[in-house]
Amino acid sequence: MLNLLEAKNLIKKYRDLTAVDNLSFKIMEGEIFGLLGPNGAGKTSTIRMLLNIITPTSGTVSFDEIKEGEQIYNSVGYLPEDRGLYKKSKAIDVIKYFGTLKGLSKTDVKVKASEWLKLLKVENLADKRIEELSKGNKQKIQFISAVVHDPKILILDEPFSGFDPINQELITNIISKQREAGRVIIISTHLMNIAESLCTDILLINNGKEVLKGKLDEIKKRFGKNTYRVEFIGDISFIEDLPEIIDFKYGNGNAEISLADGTSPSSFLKKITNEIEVTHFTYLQPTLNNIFLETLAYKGNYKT
Amino acid sequence: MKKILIIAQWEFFEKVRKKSFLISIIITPLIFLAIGYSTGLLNPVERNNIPVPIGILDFTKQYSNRIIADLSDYYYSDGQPKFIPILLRENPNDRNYYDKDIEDNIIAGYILITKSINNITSFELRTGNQLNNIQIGLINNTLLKSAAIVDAKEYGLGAEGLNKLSENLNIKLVHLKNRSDTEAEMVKAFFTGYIFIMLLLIMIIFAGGMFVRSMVEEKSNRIMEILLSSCKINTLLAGKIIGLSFLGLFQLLIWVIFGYFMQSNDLVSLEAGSTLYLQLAYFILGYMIYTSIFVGLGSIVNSEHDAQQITGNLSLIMIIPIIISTQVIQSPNSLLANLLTFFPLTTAPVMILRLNIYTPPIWEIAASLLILLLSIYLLIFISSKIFKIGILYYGKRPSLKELLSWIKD
Repeated sequence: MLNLLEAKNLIKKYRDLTAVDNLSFKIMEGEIFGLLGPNGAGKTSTIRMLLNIITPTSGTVSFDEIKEGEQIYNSVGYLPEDRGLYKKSKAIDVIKYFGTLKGLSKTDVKVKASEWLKLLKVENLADKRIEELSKGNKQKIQFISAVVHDPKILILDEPFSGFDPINQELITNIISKQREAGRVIIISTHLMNIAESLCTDILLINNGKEVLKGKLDEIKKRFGKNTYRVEFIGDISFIEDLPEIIDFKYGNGNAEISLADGTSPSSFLKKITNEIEVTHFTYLQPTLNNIFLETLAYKGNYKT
Repeated sequence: MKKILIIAQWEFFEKVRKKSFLISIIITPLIFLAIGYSTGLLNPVERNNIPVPIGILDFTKQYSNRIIADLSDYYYSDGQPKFIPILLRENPNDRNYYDKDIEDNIIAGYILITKSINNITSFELRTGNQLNNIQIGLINNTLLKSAAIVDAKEYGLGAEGLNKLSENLNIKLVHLKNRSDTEAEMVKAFFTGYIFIMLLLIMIIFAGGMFVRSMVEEKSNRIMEILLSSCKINTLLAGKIIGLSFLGLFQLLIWVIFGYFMQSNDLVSLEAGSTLYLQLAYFILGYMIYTSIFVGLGSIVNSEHDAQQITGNLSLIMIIPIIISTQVIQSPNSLLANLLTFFPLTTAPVMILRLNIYTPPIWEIAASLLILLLSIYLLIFISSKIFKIGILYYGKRPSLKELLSWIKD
C-alpha cells in the first residue's frame, strides 16, 4: 500500500488562537480516514491546510506521487461542510465550471458529468437552475462537482448532511467504490455513527490537539471492556453475587455483563449455564460514540 | 494561465446572462435619450425631404438676391432643396414684425439685414428652436460668403476677380471647443460630458454591485473554498479582475454601438470631438480604478447589507464630480477642477468633463493618466492583500486597523 498523504507537525495559529496544534498523520491508499472531533475542534482548519487553501504556520503536507503546483489542485476533490452553489446557474454549467477548473478539458467534463449525473440518478436535472432543485438534489450536484475530475484524494466534510437514508446509502456505496478504486478518502464529521460505519482509520481531535489516532478496529479493541451480551431463559438475578462481575444490567431475557479484567469468558459462560439456559452469547464492541465521549471526558489528558 | 481564463470567462458570462445586467445595459441609454429629447439638448438631425422656409428681410436691398441664390443651392441627397428662401416685405414700423411668424411656424427663422447710420451692416439670424446646428451653420456660411462677394463687387472687383473670390472663399463651420462661449454650447458640452460620467457612475454601481454580491454569495456558500482548492489565490484574483474588466468593456461597447447607431440613423446629433478617444481612455481607466477597489472591498463583505453599504459609499465619491460639474464646466481651469483632476478617484470623470470644453495642457493629460495608472496598480496590490485574507474571513467586518495589518503582512 502506498503512503499517499502525509501531514507532519501541522500547526495553525490565528493571532491569539491556536486552531491546530501539532497534528501528524499518514493516510494510505485504500483507507477511509475519519477526521473527528466536536465543533470547533480544528477540523476545518486542518482540511484547509490539506487543501492548500491556507498555509500552515509550521509543518508540512506532502502528497506522494503528486508533483508540485497545479497537480495538487487537480488531484483533490472537496465537498465543503456548508453547501452552496451558484443559485442562478444551471446544474450542468456549475459542474462544468468546477470540472474545468480542476483541469478537465471541455469534452472530458461533458462525458464525466453525464456519467455522474446518471450514477446519482439526476440526469434529468442537468438543465435546471440550482435554486429550483430540492435540498437533496443540490447536495448531489455538489457531490458531483467534487468528484467529476476523478480526484486521487477526496475530502468530504460532513458528507451526509442533507441526505435522506436512501441517498445516504447511495453515497456510501459510491464512497466504498472510490475506496476500492484506490482513492484516498478523508471524511470529516462529528457524527460518530457515520465514521463508525465508513472509516478504516480515525484521528480524533479536540482544541486542535490530537486525542486519539489509529485503525478503527484496533482502537475499538483497546477500548473493549470485556462486555458481553447474553440472551437466556430463566432467572439471572443470581449473578449479582458473582465476584468476577464489575457491572451489569438486565431486562426480560437479555443482559449486558461486564467482566473483571482477566476473567475468561468461556469459564464464566460455563458457570452460568448451570443455572440458566443461554441462547446467545456475544462480545460487545464499544461504539465509537462511547469512545468519543469517554475520551473527551478526559479533556485531552488521555495518552495513546 | 488557463485557469485565469476559465475564471474570467465564468465571471463574465455569469453576469452577462443575468436579467438585471441586460436591463441596466438597455435601459440606461434610453433614459438619457429621453432626458436629452425632452430638454431639447439632443436635437434630432435634419430629416430628409423637409425644406425649411427661411425669410430674408433686407433693409439694405443689397444682399438678398445673392443670399436667396446661395441658400437655394443646398440640396438633400435625394435632390430636395434644404431651404426655401422667402423674401420678406419690409415693414418700417416694426423690424421684428416677422417674429410672430416664427412662433406660428410659418417660417423657421429669418435673416435680418440692416445698416446703421454710420454705415455698419449687420446680419441677424432670428429663429426659435426650429433650426438645428447644421442648418444654422449652413446659413451662417451663406451669409459670410454672400456678404463678402457682394461687398467686393461694390468695392469694384471685376467679374474675373469675383469668380476667383467665389471659388477661393471656402467657409466651413468648425466647432472649436475652447470657443464654446455661447450659452447653448455650454449646456450642450455640459450635457455630453454629463452623459459620459453618468454612464460611468451607473456602470460602476451596476457592475461593481453585481461583482460584490456574487462575492458575498461565493463566501457565504463556501464556493470560495472550492475555488481555492482548485487554483492559487492570485489566479482567482486575476481571473476576477479580468472578468469584471471585460464586463465593463462589453457594456461600453454596447453603448458605443448604440450611440453610433443612433447617430448614423440621424436620431441624435452627438458631437464626437477629437478628444473622444481620450475620453474613452479616461472612461476605461476610471472604471478600472473602481474595479480594483471593489475586488478588495468585496472580499471583506459578508452580507448583502454590507455589500450595498460599500457600493453606496463608493458611489458617493463618484457623485462629487457630478455635483461640481457645473463649476468645472464654467471654469475648467479653476483650482477645484485642478485638484480633482489629480485626485485618482475623481480624475476620470473630471477630465471627461474638462475635455468636453477645451483641451487641457498636454502635461496635465499625461500626468493625470500616469496618476490613474499608478493608482490602479497600487490599488490592485492593496486589494490583493486584503482579498487573500478577506475571502476566508467570516463573521464581523474587519476594522480599519485589521485591514491595515493585512496590507502590511
